[in-house]
Amino acid sequence: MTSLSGFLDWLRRIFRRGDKDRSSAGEASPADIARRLVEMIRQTQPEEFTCEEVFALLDQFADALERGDDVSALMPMVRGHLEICADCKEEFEALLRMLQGRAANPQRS
Amino acid sequence: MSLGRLQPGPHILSDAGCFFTTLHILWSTPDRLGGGEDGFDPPALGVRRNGIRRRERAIDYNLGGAPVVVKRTNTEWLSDLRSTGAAQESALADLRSVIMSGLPYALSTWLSPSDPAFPSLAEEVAQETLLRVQSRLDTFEGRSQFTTWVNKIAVHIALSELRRRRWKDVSLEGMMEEGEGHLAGLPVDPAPDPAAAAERSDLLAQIDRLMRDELTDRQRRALEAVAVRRLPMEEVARRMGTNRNALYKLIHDARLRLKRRMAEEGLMPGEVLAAFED
Repeated sequence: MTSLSGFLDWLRRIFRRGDKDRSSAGEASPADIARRLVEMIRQTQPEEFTCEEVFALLDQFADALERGDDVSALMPMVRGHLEICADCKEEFEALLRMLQGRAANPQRS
Repeated sequence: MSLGRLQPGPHILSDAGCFFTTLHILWSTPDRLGGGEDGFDPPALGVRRNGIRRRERAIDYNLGGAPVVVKRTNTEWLSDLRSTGAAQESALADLRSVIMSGLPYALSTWLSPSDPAFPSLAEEVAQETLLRVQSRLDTFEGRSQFTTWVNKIAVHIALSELRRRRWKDVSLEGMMEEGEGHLAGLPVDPAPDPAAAAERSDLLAQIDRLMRDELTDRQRRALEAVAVRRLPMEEVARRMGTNRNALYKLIHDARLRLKRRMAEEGLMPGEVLAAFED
């Protein structure tokens, strides 16, 4: 069995690197990082949409959410991907801000 | 598509007290553009494509306030954009206004509209989005509002560019650079009691062993960069010589393998997470 010190060394590298970039890993304890990793593993499904597949549906997903539809029931695989993929989540949130801005300024759309 | 000078149509109205100014933008013919579905893999903005003619044209753009845009149904948008002459030009101008007025909201957590870099970025994003929309009109399935589909493309182009700019001078080695030092004295595992601390340490060791034994170096590197470090997928993919889609699949395979092996060893993720609850 690999020693605990090996894993701690890996966590230590992550822990220290986090100071230099956008990641919140730098502010997270090793336990937080472990939780994050295990949570991602827990959410992992045998079949998942890729980023490209989610991108193809993101406009429908956003419109449905704006209408108040139950997107978790309608598009569970899109929702699942957004919970795991930070890049797609960022783009979805930016799109939602656009739609909400449009709703607040309807003359612009 | 007409490449003549755009004239402001009667539908483009300035808000009271605002002024019009003329901006010159580069306009490219929309053929031979790369990218996957809906142009998922965009080239970096400003990259000149081989064989693409870029022509300068001028449009009138109201800098003092967003122009009023004519309401269109999806069918009307498609019809106007596929037409020629004034109808197409007014639709393009309106679509550009939609994009430009939405970008400050979309990018609000990334770049302030008052930032000197914002106007040129927005201009480039709008230009690239219009090109991509024109080249991919046939892929729009009509299952969303047309403007939402367009804004989705604009957001993807904008954030891809912002990520590229933010990380352009950092190599993957820099992203993944191994640090020196020790955690000695740091509360690695702030468990409430010694028994819980020991359990957490044991779980961490088991997960670490699985990662080392079950994953390839490439899987482990990708998982560490994206899933744990939360580095941007596109930039990690670029540096690993792949694309965002393939990187997601690589990481998915790694997560799936870890999940199966954890189950085989009786390590249920829910129970592991519970052990780390404070």
